[in-house]
Amino acid sequence: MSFLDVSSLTKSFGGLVANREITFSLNQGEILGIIGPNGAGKTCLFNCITGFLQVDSGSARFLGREMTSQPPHHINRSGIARTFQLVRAMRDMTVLENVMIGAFCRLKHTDEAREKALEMLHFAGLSEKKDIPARELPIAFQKRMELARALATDPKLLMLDEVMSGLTGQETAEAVELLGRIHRERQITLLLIEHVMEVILPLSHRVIVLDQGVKIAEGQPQEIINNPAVIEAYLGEKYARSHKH
Amino acid sequence: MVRPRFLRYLIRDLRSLSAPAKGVLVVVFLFLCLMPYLGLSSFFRAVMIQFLFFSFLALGWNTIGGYGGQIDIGQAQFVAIGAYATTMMLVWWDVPPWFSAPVGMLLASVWCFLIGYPLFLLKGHYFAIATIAAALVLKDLFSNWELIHASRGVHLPFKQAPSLLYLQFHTNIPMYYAMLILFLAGVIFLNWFRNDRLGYQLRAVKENDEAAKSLGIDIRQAKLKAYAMAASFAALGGSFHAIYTMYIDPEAVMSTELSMQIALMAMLGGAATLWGPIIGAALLVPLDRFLGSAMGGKESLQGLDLMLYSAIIMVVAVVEPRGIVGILQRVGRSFRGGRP
Amino acid sequence: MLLQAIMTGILMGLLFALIALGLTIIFGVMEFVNFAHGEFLLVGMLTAFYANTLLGLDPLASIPLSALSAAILGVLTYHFLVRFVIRGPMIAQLFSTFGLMLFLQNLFLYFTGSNYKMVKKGLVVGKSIRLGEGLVLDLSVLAAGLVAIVAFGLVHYLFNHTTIGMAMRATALDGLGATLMGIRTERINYLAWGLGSAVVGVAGAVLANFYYIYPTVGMVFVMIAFATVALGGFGSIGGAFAAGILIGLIEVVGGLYLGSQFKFTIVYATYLLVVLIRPKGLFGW
Repeated sequence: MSFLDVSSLTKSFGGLVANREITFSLNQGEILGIIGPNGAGKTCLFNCITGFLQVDSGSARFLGREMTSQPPHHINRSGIARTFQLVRAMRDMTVLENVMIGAFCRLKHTDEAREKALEMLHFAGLSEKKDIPARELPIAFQKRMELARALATDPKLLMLDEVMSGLTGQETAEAVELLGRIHRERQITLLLIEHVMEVILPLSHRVIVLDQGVKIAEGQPQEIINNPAVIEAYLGEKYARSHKH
Repeated sequence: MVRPRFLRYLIRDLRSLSAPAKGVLVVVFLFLCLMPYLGLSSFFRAVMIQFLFFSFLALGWNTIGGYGGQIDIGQAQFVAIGAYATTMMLVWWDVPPWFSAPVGMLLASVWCFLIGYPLFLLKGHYFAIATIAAALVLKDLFSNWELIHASRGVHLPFKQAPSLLYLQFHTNIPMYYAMLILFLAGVIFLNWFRNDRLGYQLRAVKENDEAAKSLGIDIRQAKLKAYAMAASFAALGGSFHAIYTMYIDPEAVMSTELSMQIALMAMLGGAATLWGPIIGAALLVPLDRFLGSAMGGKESLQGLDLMLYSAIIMVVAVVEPRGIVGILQRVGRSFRGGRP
Repeated sequence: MLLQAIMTGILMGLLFALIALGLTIIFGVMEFVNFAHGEFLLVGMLTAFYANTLLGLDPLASIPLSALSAAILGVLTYHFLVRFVIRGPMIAQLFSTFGLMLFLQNLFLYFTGSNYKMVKKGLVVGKSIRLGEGLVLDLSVLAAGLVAIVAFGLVHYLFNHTTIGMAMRATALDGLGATLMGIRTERINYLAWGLGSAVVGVAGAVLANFYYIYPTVGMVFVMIAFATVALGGFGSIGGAFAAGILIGLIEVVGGLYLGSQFKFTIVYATYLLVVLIRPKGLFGW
């Protein structure tokens, strides 16, 4: 059974086609990166797959089940967790409580949820911050918390929307290390939207490139960065031509 | 031994209080239990009953209004459903309140699902105004429904006193204890609620509903559950009110003023906290009754009592939106150990 | 009977529109709902009443006075209350103006007493003319409608043909952007409160011509105002105008067919239908 199959997914807003016939497959255990210039439709794609937006046409099948007709909470219960481009923390709740919310997805009892949350916090290296209100955390820690929270829902697929944005070099390295551990130790498939090339390239098994709502390339990271269409999308025609070899 | 969850939460939360807070709690608890025998006036007893009554209603309101963040200014409609269910079942079929109160709670829950389902599409002031509108529609219907005596109201028939079955007595002491038991049950319930999954999930929805959705929370279902809890509290309170005052009419049990009072007490004391509604009621009920009898009795001073009451509300709104509990937290942060 | 109802409905509707206009101006500029709006109406009514009984002024002549007293109340409300709660949680916003509502109701109860007051002498008070068979035109209600039309005209002119009006519209559309363009949004906020309150003060003055005055009179009208604003769209002036007339018609014609005891019920039910089916109302944002 295929893991995630997106097929001809199309979403437009009025006259603007944000996602046009997007098609790709994700295999279990992979790390797939989605890159593309601003406005390419990456977050829109995420929103369509996770039920935050209704697609115009096309499908997204996860473990054989159609996701595009489901509400977000069902999709999460099916095994897909996601993070957001701008961290959506429950600001007046503590870090521990935030992660407990994730744990409550599968667990009924508060004490069990607390156990699970503590475990996730430990995994993400946030144990000492557990009683701090989320609004007092610096951005890097908030992102870790959002990750821990998403992990607490026991997902099979974790979708991350620009989790590296706003991080310093050091913080980025730590985040990459955490993602690697999530993938290896928890056996979670990753689908990442990213801008930061130094992250995507070493981390991803495969990369998809979107530009203006359309998928323009797909392949191994090394092929992608030398793909003229990709270069043109990011840097314009001039550089693409000069880069051809 | 595996204790039921509500007991575990209760014991744990009581243990976590600081020593002074525990002391205060013990004193207050003893006072509440012994109050009728402390030689205080019957008027004082009546005020205490009213304090417990409003605390109970405000506690129930808190599930949807405080923790759920959906500010409901229409709770009186559920109070009325409980009151009328108990009253009419007694009048028509001699049903004792022990049986009619649960029926009232059930009817109130049904009504709240009916209106909650569409109403939870709304938030903020749209929702608040909508609850006022829904309650007013129901009130207009009740006021014109001959079957339940419309706006003339209904007197509850005297059965026999003293009677545990019909809860009719010669003094208000037994009713005081009845309300005290309800109040304590309400406190224990809310403590369970805030510690349990639904309480956490509602707080998450209130803070950030998009994130909550992405974490597997069914927002509508969670809100409806909390709303039904609030409605049940209100209906139970309504049944009590009917038995206690022996007379109900739409204006007494269903007014917008009543809805506002319930919401205001919880908000003033501190919504989304356990003690907030109780503190709010503790401040506003005596203020209303004692000032009211001191001032409002005199024609010339009518209105002063409520002016003071509402001035306090405005000041708290500006100074500390989290209510009196918020103020206490700010002031006593270093002294307190327990959770609010 | 129906024609009479329609006529009264339209005229009262214009008045409802005027009351709603005050609410919608404030909401448009700062997304704030004033639950004490009915008490601002009361201030307008009381001003006209006392000007009439103490100074012999005709209620129509007290329109500027009522507008002024309501405007002052509005500005004071913004300055001492709203300014602080607007940045906070919704719950504090709601209960701050509830508190204000209770406060004002009881303030007037204390100072003016609870008995119903009625303006007795005035140009249009108690006068009506026959228009044909069974058709009676109450002149005070007619005056209310006409004043409402004039007021709407003035407000429309202000918003669309003056610089200050443009500044207000800019602030309504994008407060931060307006600030960045050099508009002093704090001043605009004060102005919005002053103007919105003045408008409902005017409504109070004309209402005093034919309606009983008592401390809780605002409660009835504020719910009608909410229904009107919801139907017309929160923030839309043209919407308030159209919706007011509609609500006026719904109230009177509905009352005709369902019984007058239900005429307000229909208005509340209308609010519920509107916000559930089309929350933005007819023209709102």
